[in-house]
Order: sequence, then structure tokens, then C-alpha cells
Amino acid sequence: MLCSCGSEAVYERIHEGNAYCASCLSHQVEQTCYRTVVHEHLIEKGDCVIVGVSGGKDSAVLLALLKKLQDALPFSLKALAVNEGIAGYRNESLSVARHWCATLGIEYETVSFPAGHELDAFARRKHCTYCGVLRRSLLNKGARELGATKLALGHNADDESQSILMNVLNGDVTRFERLGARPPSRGDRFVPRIKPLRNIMEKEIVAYALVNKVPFYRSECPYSHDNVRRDVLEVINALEQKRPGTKMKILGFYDGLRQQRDVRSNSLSHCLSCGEPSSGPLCRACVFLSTQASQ
Amino acid sequence: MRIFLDNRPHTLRGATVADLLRECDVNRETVLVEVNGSLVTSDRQLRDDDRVSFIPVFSGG
Repeated sequence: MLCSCGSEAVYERIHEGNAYCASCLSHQVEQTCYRTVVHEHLIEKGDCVIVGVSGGKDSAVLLALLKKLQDALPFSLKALAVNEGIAGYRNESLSVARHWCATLGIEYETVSFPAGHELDAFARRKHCTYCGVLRRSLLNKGARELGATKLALGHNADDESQSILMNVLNGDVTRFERLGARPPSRGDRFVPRIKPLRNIMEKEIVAYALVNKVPFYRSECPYSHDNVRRDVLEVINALEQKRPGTKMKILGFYDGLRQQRDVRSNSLSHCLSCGEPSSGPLCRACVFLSTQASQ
Repeated sequence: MRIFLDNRPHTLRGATVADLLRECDVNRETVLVEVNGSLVTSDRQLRDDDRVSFIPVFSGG
């Protein structure tokens, strides 16, 4: 199979019917990431972006892409890792992350689960829930202490489509609303989270890492086998194989819903002058009347 | 045809990477495939003694 440039393809985007060589794939991945950053206003000039890193392929590729982006947009970049205390897994993966940061010249910091509360010491079920809550809290606190204006996470299109479906299956509207490339801000103590890889398929991220020699730790978390996300992932992958494009359609559905909701909530606001329904602070009638009055 | 799949000898009835995925009952969404160290697409014709690796897409956590 050939890429449209004539070179031998290394990757096929089945749902689009396109194949890409290493160079065109890299270009596609980089452009998708930068388009998300620009369209969703994820990073602005002068931002201090802290990337949550694990040594896995998503955060490793995210670091590489944001490092490149610094050539075009002036912002500072640091990496923050969380050590949850998982024997035989996390120290090894963080070693890969630390070396990759050193190669890229990015400052690297680690925070750990409190002594006695490491994941290995958590004897009950639902390790992923416990871990997720503590990780998010430590990442937010650590990022804030490092002066972050944004906390960048390596969530990809697969993660996002799984989260959307998981929230539907759990009937969790509150969490459902917190998704997207730039989840709504939740107060001053929360560093705004951004997901520059949100529109890139997990498979493309691995392919990008391989062809660009981005080092990443390949093992899975030993606790990840028995969780809801794993079940949802298997369902979505089965659907994607049978009906290519399913993952991107789930994202499209979410984006469309959010857009409609924004439009709806805008239309439900009221004019500050007359109290009639308005999409802005003043309804158009009041704007016209005030303009005419001043003429 | 005899190939090496993840360093183990494997007899393949078909001729392409897509055939191999089907014969091994592997969902193409879950792996990338390298042949002799290079990433390939599913239409790649395989030959005797090719060294094939399945690279799992899901990792980390």
C-alpha cells in the first residue's frame, strides 16, 4: 500500500480509506494536535504548561509534540510524574519518562502517594477508582505548586470515546460534562486541564512513537485488567473493527451535543436590560434601541 | 508458509498481514504490525522466514 506521496505506507487510517508513510503520518499527527491546541485555545502565549507524565506512549508523544510547538508559540514546559507505588511497574516506567525529559531538556518532577497509602497497600477492590482520585489530586496540587497555568494530559481519542461511553453506562451526567479537549474550569484551586491529543487515535500515537523513535514503557499497569474502562475498550474496539470510524463518531456525537447545549444555554439567558430571552448580555432589540437613542 | 511470529515459528495459511491477523483472531484495532523491524500495512505480502511482531496498542495506565 502506498501513501499519497508515493512512499511505502506504514499506517492505514481505515475509516478514511487513507494510508500514510512515516513522514506523512508524523505530519498528520502533529497537525491534528496543533489544530486542537489552536481551535480549542488550549495553550496561549506565556502559559506555564505542566505535562502529567507516566513513561507511557501518550505522555511521551505529548512531550515531543509540545516541545516542537514551543518553536512557534512561546510558553514554558515542565513534566510532573506521580508515583503510585506499584512494585515492578511504576519505577521502571518513570525511569523511561525521566530519561526522555532529559533528552528533550524538559524539567522533570515527581510526587508520590503518601507513605502507607501506596496502591500496592490498598487491599480492597476498585484500585483504579482509588488511584484515579489520588492521582488527579496530586497532579493538580503538584502542578499548582510548580506555577502551572495549564495541566496537559495525554488522553487520546480512544480514552475520550471510552470516557464518553462509560459516563453514559454509569448515567453520570456531571462527569459527562467534564470531558472534551478543555474541560470546564472548576474553580481557582483547579489548574485548567487540557488534552492536546484528544482527537488522535491511540494506534496513531503508538505508530508516531515508533517511527520517530520516541521511547516509551510498554507494559500495562498490573491493576488495569479488571476495570470498567477495560470492558468498554473491548466493546469499542470490536465495533471499530466491524464499523470503522465508530470512535471518531462517538467524539463527534459528544462535540455536537456540547455545541447544541452551549447554543441552548445561550438562548436561555436573559437580557440585562429588559429581561427578555437573549443570547448575549443585551438582547438585539435593546442594542438597537440604545443605539438609536444615542444617535 | 513458515514465518516467525513474536520470535516463534508459525505456519501461515494465507499470504498477507491481514490473513495473519484473521488466522490469529487478533482485532486489527489492538495491534500494529512490524515485519523484519518495520511497520507495515495489512496488505503487506509475507514471505518465508519473515519475522513478524504484533505491537500492542494499549499500554500504560
